[in-house]
Amino acid sequence: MRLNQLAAASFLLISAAAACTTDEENLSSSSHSVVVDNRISFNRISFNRISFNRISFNRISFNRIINFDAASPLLDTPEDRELFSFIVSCAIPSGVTLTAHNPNTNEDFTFFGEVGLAPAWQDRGLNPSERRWVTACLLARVNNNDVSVQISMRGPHDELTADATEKATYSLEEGAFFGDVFTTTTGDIQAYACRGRGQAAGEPTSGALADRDCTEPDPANPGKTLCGMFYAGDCADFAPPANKYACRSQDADDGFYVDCAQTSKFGNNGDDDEHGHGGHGHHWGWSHWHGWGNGHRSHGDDQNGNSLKNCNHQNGGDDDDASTTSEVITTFLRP
Amino acid sequence: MRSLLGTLLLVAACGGSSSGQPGDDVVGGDDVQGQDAGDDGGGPGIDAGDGSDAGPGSDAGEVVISNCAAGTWCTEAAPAGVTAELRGVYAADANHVFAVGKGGVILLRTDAAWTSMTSGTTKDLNGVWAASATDAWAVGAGGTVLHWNGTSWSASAGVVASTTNTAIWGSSTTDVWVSCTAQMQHWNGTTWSTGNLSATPNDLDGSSSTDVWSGGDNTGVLHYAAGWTGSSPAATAPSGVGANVYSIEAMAANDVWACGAGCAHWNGTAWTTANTNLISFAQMYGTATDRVFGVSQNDIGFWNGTSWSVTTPTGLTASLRSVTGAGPHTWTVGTGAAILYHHD
Repeated sequence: MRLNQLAAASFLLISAAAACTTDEENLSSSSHSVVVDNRISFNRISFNRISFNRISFNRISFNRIINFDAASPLLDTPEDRELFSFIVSCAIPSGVTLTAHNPNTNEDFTFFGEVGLAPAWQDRGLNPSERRWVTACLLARVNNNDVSVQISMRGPHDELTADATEKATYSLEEGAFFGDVFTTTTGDIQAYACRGRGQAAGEPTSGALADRDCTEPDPANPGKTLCGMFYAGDCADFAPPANKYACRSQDADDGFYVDCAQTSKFGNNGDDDEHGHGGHGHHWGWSHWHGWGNGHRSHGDDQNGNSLKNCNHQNGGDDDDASTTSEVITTFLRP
Repeated sequence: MRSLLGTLLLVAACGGSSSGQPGDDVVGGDDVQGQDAGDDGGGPGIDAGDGSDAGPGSDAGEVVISNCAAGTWCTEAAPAGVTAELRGVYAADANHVFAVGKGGVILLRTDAAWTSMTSGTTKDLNGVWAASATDAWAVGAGGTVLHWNGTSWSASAGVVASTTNTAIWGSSTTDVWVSCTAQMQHWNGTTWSTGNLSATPNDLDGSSSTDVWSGGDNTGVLHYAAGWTGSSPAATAPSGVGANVYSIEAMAANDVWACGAGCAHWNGTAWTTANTNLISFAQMYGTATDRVFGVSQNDIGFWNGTSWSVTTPTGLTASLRSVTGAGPHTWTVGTGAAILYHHD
């Protein structure tokens, strides 16, 4: 991702009274490979929402020793530990290890940070933006086939950049993931996926895409993907006739999507049509968006990580920003 | 049909390199099923190169080779009707190669032909290991652990974990390791025991009972240098590999490969990163410091002692999951019941 090429930002209107921001900041970015494995099942995420809800409000103590109370289920079973390992891997940076003590069994477990989407979790609870980043990472790493497949995760975050080799090697666009699995303890879990260009082109019989199902609509369960996430539709308008699509923008350099909605709300039918006309094709610009912040929250977020509506946003129609999010991870595979 | 004890039968017509490096073409080899080994009509595939026929046999060490030139990868036919994804392959010896896969599929290659075995389960099988032709293990979903006693497969009694078993390796019939969801299991010849892990290994390998290595998603590299104690050893995240370990291959205590974000080699003292251009292997198989194979999707890698070369065999459409070998012979399996064979 070329952060200094992002002209503008801000997107998700969490607070109805959000103040406008015109901040722009060009920030340097470092190349950080985010090729990771995935094997976790979606069931383990959806079944652990109460645990998610609890841990999101607790900080990991500075000495990096996690002390779970006796009621915490996150270390007791193998499935819970596996899930927690993915949470830590997504949230905490590479090079940081966490030791968690389970008082129920008097065992210590070591968890590795890897992606680093919410490093501040070591010192405080996750803010809304961090919750959504960690969620996107978790969802991106769900695998429905119980095999570990390597994926390249990209998004508008300092820790989700890709160098030329990674982009060349992992060039097949699967789709994008977003939501917030930390928020609710009842009802449907907020897990969304849209179908990317590679997946929309059809299901191959081999290759990494054949092992990935989570951006594919489930014919037997309309509105859901084969993994059980909500299906937001195609991420973009891939083929004529023009269709509605779920994400407003796609980075021209790195190909990741941003500002994605829970349903296909963008398109050429007058609704929120920012990019559907005018010959933008599949690679949309960033002219209406501010640059990103330091990678830990979007620039324009308030101190709690709530994104603020961008005054520069030139958008007509029913631009319901409250249902879009900028914390989106797009996954790429080896063809 | 003759049984040529201890003889490795190579194809007389084999050409090409004998360097052991994988070629970049998949050759449709002769259908090895049901071929008449007694037919030495000069055709390719079964001539031992010494004028004798390579008849099927059951002796360890004997392998009958179809029309596959040395240094190339050739397809071998799965049994008729078998289309399942094959996830694990292990050669007990050159003439007894087990393969397992989704839906409880178990195949055995003897006398140059792959045949189906009755597994007794429909659960997905992820890994296989054999101490001998009559002592093999297969593991998979739902805590499945099957044992082959030379006559039949049966569920192993006393298995503790009920989660997904991801890999298996053993140093002997009384030292068998099975990795599963955030746990490691061990068979001592009599009973199973279990130790907790923080995350789930993808692969498992070792060079002895006190040199066992494992690694997986978020686990880092685990080295059981003290053998099985029930406790998890300290984990490391080698530079170039990271905490997400895709596969691990231990040929000796000072000759270990681990692949994650990239691949690195352990020489007994330190890890050294090797360039694979971000292609990481789902599984590796090696026999020497200069002969290591790796498979990933439709790529096959080869370490010649100096560098990794990665090729995509022409015509290969399957995703490769596992690789094994015996002597100069190497097999890899994958989706769509794909089976590829290579010999030096």
